[in-house]
Amino acid sequence: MSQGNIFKTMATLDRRIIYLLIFILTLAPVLNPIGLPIAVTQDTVTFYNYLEDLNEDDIIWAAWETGFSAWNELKAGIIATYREVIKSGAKMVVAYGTTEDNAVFQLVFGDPDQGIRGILTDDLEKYDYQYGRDYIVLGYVLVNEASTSSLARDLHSVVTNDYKGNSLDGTFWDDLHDAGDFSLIIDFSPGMQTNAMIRHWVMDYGVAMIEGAIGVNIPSLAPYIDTGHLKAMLQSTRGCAELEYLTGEPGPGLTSMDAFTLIHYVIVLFIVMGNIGYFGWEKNSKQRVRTAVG
Amino acid sequence: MSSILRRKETSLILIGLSFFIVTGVYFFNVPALENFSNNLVLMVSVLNAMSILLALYSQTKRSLLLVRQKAHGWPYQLYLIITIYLMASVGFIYGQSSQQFMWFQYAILNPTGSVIYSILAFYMASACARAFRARSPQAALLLISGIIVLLGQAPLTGVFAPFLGDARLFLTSSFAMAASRVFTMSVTIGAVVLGVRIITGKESAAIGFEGG
Repeated sequence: MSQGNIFKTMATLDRRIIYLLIFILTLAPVLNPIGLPIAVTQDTVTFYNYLEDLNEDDIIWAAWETGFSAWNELKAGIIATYREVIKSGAKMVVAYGTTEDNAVFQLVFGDPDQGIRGILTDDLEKYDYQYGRDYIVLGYVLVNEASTSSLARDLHSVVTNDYKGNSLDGTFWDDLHDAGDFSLIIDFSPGMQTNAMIRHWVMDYGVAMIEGAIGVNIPSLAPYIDTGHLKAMLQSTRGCAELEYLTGEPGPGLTSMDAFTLIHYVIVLFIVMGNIGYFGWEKNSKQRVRTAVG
Repeated sequence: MSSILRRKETSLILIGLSFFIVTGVYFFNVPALENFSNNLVLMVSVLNAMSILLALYSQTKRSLLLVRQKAHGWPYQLYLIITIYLMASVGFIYGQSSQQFMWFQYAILNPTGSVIYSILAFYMASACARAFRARSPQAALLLISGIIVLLGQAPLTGVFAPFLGDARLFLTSSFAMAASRVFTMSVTIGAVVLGVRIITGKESAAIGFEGG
């Protein structure tokens, strides 16, 4: 193979080879974990500290907004976070941001009424964390900015029953009136009502808020960390894995970190190879391939 | 009466009043105004929820048309309509927390949502290999920044090259942050300007009237 051909191959790498390599590098470490070490970032430590500071007097507004698409990216963080919440004994009001979140919540918390066990059912039993006494589920109430704002101002004008239509009378919901009664907002979201909660819950009532963000939302939410509106942010799958590490409960996040690391490196390798091919062949070639960037 | 309600001026007056009532509570402590404002915002939530019915009607009409015309991909449209109505029926009959309803969520929504999300990895890797070229000094800077961020984002890098993690942090918390702030502020200012133009009747199309 001549030198020109090598550069040409690098510049016009068959996408099927790329797909195959990504597939193998994702699957292989999941089947046979390597256990590559990871470094924990300060953002995750801050997030973890907020969870560590929770106690039985705290009441949390737990916004479940991932749906199934973002669930896969954030599930490690969601499981680790709510395991810590259960351990702390803090009370929790659960609100969904999509219609799918009822199913996502059931995956994690199960459904005691129907005898369905979830990922955290063992923890619920171990710490005697009970529905009605320790947590309630409002259902799909974070529909849009208007409903998010209405809830912040007057909880009871919007919600009187839980997600199954049962009355909330006699639960700790009676003692809550507006956003100001909550000590912390925990939001896992691909961006549904995150900004609305910052505007109407955080800015208006000064509630502390911590966020589990998917990768594409990190740059747009990062300024809120700087301004103090968000107290901490768990950054995508990596942040979730770091939280698992800090809580000492390994799970899907740490399992995926080998693949996560390898894929990042292989993408860098592809970029470098593509540019070597560009300078060695494509730049001076009449068969130059028109590409999107640069 | 109906002719009055259809007039552009009536819409503008209602929009203007709603605006002043909802924003007024931020400046004046009048309990009656606050109650009215809360109710108004609540009404918007209810109206938004009702818009699902409109969406259902539009989707059904469109999909059935495509099925009748045997347009490209019509079986998918048929599948969409069948699952929408089947899922809604099961939800109404058995309840949204029932196992029957959950089966649709776990067997259809979860895998399809996951697949759509995960195949992005393949497209992004392919785009990185084939499209990112240092054709100009600006593109070269973009590439170098991207590589630093990618390397810094990989969890292992922080173990053997922590300086790359710091470099990533610098890039994301300075350049990326500045760009993100500019974007947020621009969108916000744009929204305010649009709001003022709608209230003053200069954006009639936004409220359903022709002729800007």
